[in-house]
Amino acid sequence: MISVSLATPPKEEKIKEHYDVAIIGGGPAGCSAAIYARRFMLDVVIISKHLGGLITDAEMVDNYPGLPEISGKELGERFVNHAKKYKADFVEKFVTGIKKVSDEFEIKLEDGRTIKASTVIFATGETHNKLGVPGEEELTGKGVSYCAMCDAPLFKDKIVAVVGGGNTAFTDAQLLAKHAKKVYLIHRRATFRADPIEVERVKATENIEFVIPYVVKRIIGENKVERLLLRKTEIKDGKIMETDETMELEVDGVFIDIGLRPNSLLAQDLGVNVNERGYIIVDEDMQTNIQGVYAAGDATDKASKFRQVVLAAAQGAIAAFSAYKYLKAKKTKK
Amino acid sequence: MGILSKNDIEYLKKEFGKSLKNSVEIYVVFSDNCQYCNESKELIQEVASTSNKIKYKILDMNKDKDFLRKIKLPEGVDHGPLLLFKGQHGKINFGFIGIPAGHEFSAFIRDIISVSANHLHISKETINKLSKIKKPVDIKVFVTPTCPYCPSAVYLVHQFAMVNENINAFMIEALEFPKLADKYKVMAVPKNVINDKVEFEGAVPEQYFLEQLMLAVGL
Repeated sequence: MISVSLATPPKEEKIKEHYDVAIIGGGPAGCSAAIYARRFMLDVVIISKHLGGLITDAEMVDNYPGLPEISGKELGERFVNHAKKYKADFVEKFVTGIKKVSDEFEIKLEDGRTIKASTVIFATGETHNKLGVPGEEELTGKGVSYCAMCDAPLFKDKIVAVVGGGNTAFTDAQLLAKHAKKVYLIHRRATFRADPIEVERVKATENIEFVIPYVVKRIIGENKVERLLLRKTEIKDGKIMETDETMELEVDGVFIDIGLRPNSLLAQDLGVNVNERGYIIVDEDMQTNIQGVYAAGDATDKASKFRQVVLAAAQGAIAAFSAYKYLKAKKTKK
Repeated sequence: MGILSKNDIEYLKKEFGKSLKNSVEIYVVFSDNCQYCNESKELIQEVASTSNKIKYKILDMNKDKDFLRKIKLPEGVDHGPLLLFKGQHGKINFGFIGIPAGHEFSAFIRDIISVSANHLHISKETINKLSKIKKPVDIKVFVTPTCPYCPSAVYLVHQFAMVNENINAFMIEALEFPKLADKYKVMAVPKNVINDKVEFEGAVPEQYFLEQLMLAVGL
């Protein structure tokens, strides 16, 4: 079946010199912030290299209220189109730097242009974690993958492994099971963080086999992934300990779903405070430690414990409202 | 039933009405053993119906061999569909090998707008450097239709090709061209291959791609 996607606005990027609100990131948090900020009649730009955000990697989203069983791609498109309807400007470029100049912010783009803004909302989301084992770096793109949605069809009738115990690992395993001959699900515990319904679905899929509790110690292969070296774990005093028992698993590919880390380096460059895991610290108004700078979505310490589209969208709305209040107060002072 | 929804068509009509300036010529090449030739035909007909500035010509890979020989297609492309663009410089040097469906459709629409409005989305510095290349460059970007990162990689190299007719840049849909995907060991997309010498995965920043390109051509 052929379908087409018009997620990205194929527009000329006519950007203004100055915006009331610059939103960095075009996922649910960023788009929601843009919608609300436009309703407050603020000038808004979304700067994002990946419109729709990480949710577009999800084959199916079944927990966004009111939109059951929607594909991640379509949900992302709907967010983007909604922000477009409110005439937020979009710039699809990487941001290479940001600095504060008096009480304004200057955002530098990869093409050398600069955007000035009175307020900034970081809706920068997260990036996939790496296993940090030998072979991973060298074999990335040669069987090691972080995007099942992108690469699953390339493993038709092959044997693959998914590493992780959360929802992403479990939904990826189900997607891969449609293409691959065999899918191993490797997790370091015998229990899972994934929602029970996803665990049931995986258990009911014939060509998925659990390999638990094991950790991946090494990814082995000449020019492409050939096998994994695993080590069995056990729980001792509530901690996961590695045992002496090892085994090798022959696979053609390995998909790494062991959680995410925040994209907060840009915010940190600006002097925004982050917690010990790198998540941007915000208060209940999504305000950071710097005046005029807000954050929303998965990059914040508030969302990191329960990463959900519905929460990101809500935080985006709050951040926009806070930016609006700040700008209004500033105007009255003048 | 068409491939584009009513909303898509309305959207394109509006967008094209605003952004298109000059005519755009697209060459659509069909062949035997072609998985998505019928769908590509439908797709181009529907897209072209939204603006009279979009012109397309249907070619046959076998019958129009002589014409196609002048285009520097990647080796091993033995079936359709191909959707090839004539750039602002008048040469056919970039396009899609395989149907531009799924996420890739947005790159296809952007190409149309870029060529027609003669508008590039890359920096002046990059344009300067690219303009100076005299040697032939061959860029392949392997994609799958479900890859959300791929269109931006494809659009970037198509922009490069619009700048300089010596740069040939083609998207290759890995699932429709498994032999090519195997040859280049595509196990993750987007996979970029320049002059069969330099290869890397990912939708990378403009500057990084440019550096790799310069490396591949030895500049």
